[in-house]
Amino acid sequence: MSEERKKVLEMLAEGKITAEEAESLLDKLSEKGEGEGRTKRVFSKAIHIGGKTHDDDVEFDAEPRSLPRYLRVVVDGDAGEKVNIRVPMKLIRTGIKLGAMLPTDAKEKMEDKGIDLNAFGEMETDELIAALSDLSVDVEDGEETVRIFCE
Amino acid sequence: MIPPALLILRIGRFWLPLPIFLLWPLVLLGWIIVGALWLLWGLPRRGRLRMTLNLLAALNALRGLSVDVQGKDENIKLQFI
Repeated sequence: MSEERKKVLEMLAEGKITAEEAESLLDKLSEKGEGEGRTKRVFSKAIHIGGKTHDDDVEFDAEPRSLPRYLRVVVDGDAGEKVNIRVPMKLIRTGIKLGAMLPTDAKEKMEDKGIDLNAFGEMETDELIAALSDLSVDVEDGEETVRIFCE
Repeated sequence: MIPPALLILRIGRFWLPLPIFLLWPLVLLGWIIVGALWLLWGLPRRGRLRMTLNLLAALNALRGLSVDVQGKDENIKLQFI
């Protein structure tokens, strides 16, 4: 059990918060995967739900989750073929910026094929890479196994 | 961000380490020129200066890139260290 969950349960046991408030806080804790750095703010909002203020009691210094460094693609074939690709996230970050600067005719041709590079240009690269950290794709078709993940 | 120092190529049984660090002075020169132009003109949202900056950043980000393909006939590896 994490320290945060323990703290919430202790507060519930001490009667500082109600069961509903504790439930709400525990729900928020489950959802916090998307941005642990924002834990403090989420909690201080959550504690106002019951009309009481327990800001001092609900301060958690969660460490921000470290971003992945590499995108890995691993392919294992039945006949012994192996492909192992490791792409640094920094390269993806700069690649997105370069992709947004492609000539317009090249962009148009890619859009004809259903690839919209403008969407990448508008994205926050840090958010994209943070979202990629949860990426895990496993494909098995009997002949080959493909795994895509971040590390 | 330090650019890659070595490019290791393996084609079949042959290993070929390429000393990319010999090109570091050129990369440094590129950064200096881009930095000087940035100071003179400012950094535009688009344009050649911005593209050169991104290219230099991409060059530096190559460190760690690794592609390894092993099959029945082909055995190729490319790794930036």
